[in-house]
Amino acid sequence: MDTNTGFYIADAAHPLICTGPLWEELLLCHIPSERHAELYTSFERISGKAIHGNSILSELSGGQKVILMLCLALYSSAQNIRFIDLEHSLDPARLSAAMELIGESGKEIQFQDAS
Amino acid sequence: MIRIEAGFRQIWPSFGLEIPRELRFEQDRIYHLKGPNGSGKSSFISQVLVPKLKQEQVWLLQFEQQAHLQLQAIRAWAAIFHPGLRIQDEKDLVGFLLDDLESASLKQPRPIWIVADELHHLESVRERQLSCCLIYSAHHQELGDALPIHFKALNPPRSVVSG
Repeated sequence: MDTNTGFYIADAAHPLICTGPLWEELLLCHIPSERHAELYTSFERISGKAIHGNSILSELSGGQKVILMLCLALYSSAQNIRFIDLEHSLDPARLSAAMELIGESGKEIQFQDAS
Repeated sequence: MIRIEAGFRQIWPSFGLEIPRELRFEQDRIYHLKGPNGSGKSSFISQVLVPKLKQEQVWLLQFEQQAHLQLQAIRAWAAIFHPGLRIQDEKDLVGFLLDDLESASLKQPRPIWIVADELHHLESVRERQLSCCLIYSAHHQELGDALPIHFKALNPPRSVVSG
């Protein structure tokens, strides 16, 4: 597989796979354990909500799930990420904070509007 | 018209909604639920508004947030009951459900209520010019004559809702 041209798709229409504890989603996205604390901090900085590995994903709001999707994508090993409908799901303040984190990531990012 | 009584509601174990004054929603009006992510708009829809509407003799059409599951369910339903009809995306879903709603309303007239949580194709709903009450939540879509309902997040995790 040519990993240089593949994109990690992060679609706000279905942001997460799991509904149980966060650690399941971290496992699926291959987030190294040494980066978990950093991911939790970034999520809290954007959403204002503290989380940890045992936080239950189904208890997050729709927007918080999208913010978590964004953090998982950015802390994954993927270098190329395509965000779909990110803007639609986030209020202006969260979107601004999210864009800041995206800018800091140094990854190749594409944005797509599904509508 | 429906009334949502004033009071505090513990929606989830770690989240509550404070409604200081009674909220009223009337036919032929549009209401815009406004507030930041996590301020309880979707919780208000699913735990307060829709249960209240289900007690009334009305036609209720609800577009859910992150509607891919609703899209798949309606696709499957349409494949059985409307063979040949293709529902590919959210726009098709909106059109199909609005057609169905109009058809049901013609057969049995009742007040129509449409609730849309972060729907992309909100304009498609408005363009139908149905006699209804439309209540929608959106961050970046403004329908000109909508009446705002504000959600303000407070700490500890609770929000205040005001019309």
